[in-house]
Amino acid sequence: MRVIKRYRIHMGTFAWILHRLSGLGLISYLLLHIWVISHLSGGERSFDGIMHSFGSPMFKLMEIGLVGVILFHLFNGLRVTLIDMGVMVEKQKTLFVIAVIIWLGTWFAFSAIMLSKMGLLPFTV
Amino acid sequence: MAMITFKINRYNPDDEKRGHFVQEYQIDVPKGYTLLDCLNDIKWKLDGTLTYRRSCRSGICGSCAMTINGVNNLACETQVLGLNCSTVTVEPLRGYPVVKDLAVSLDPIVRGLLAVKPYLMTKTPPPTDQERLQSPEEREKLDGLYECILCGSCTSSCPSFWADKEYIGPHALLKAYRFVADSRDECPGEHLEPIDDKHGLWRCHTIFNCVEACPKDLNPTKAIAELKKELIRGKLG
Amino acid sequence: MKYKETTRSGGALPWLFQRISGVYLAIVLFVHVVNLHILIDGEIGYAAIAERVATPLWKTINISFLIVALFHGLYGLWIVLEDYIHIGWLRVLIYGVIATIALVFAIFGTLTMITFQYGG
Repeated sequence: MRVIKRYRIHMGTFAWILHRLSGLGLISYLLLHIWVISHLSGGERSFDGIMHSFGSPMFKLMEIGLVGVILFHLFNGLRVTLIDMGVMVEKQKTLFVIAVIIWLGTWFAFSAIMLSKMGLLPFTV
Repeated sequence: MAMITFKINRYNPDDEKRGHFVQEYQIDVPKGYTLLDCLNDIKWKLDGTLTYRRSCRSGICGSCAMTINGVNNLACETQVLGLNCSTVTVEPLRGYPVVKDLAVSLDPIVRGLLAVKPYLMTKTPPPTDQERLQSPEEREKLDGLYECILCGSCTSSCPSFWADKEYIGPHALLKAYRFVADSRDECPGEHLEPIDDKHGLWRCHTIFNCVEACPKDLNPTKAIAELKKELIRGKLG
Repeated sequence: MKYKETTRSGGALPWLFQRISGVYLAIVLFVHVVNLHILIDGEIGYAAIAERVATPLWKTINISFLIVALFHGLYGLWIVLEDYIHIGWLRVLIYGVIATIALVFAIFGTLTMITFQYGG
């Protein structure tokens, strides 16, 4: 066969793969979201109806996942923008580590608040 | 000394039926041996048909670039015992057409390189009594750009190149910036115009594989970022 | 040697706008998520958002948010596909499909906002 060993995935490669996948996920979500929000045109019953069908705990947990995807794409996107402006290009790995730390921090905070609102935590945030 | 197994990708253009296959060789590797030393040992003592390019054996000619354990590097600069594994996979540079065994066609590199017009371009005639002068600060701008040995490791490591073989490649873009950044070059537009293309620098997504691959520790992504800024400045006027 | 197929730019200004829209969305989307998941209690329903959404200010914010998000997302999708699709007619076709999706959803979303009346 032509290739024996998969080419190594470096930190920068990993960041790009995740950014791409999260982007594709988010645009799919956006199109769905626009359709869901359009139920506003149908009035209170129509809107509350569709929002209720997305109200189960499983969907709420998926929402926490969605917030994680949004935040990753956001912070890595800011990293890409900095690099594109020529800022800290040599320190791109450090930038990625910082972006991941901020991502995990904010995601954790959001998740704690969202879970507490669902009553799933033994305390309120 | 250590017994190391080398899994080497073989291909003979005269034996199309066999196609690409992997051949294993085991040799005793003394401390200090580079991969090139090992390949030489294999070729001279075990299998004379093993084919690869090499010349200076000191990291400056760029001939022996290959994919070693899944990463591009020069064979003559890779300490085999420093790889810390008993099996080393050696493959021809990823993404280029294989001519024979570890020797690849560098046509994709040459194509991209020539497209950026990789030579000083001027409008004014040179001074008659001296060379075109450059201050130390202006000369410093070329550091990290002129040292490219055209080994092909960077473009071979780039996922954008794997996806689009027409992509001009980080090597060509680094070379383009080498001239755009040169204070003596008077036609930056000539180097910028060919790269402003969907197969040009806009295919760079700051993946940074090229920076990891470069055996001379150059930074093509940084050069590309500067080129993007130059192009935008030109468009915004 | 002639390298480029055309003299047109390979996408300099859309590239720039992708970064600018990204920063814009980073701020607005962050505020949007905070609004909906932190500041609103209970299920997000008509009662929680309709009164605000009916105001001209929020309609404008939401429409601009929608258009910028659609551009950023669909141009990002186009860039990904352009990396892998090199057959001429297929490229043109997919570009057309994406442009159509952009137009349809932009109009759809904008109409939702413009026609919305509280209590309607």
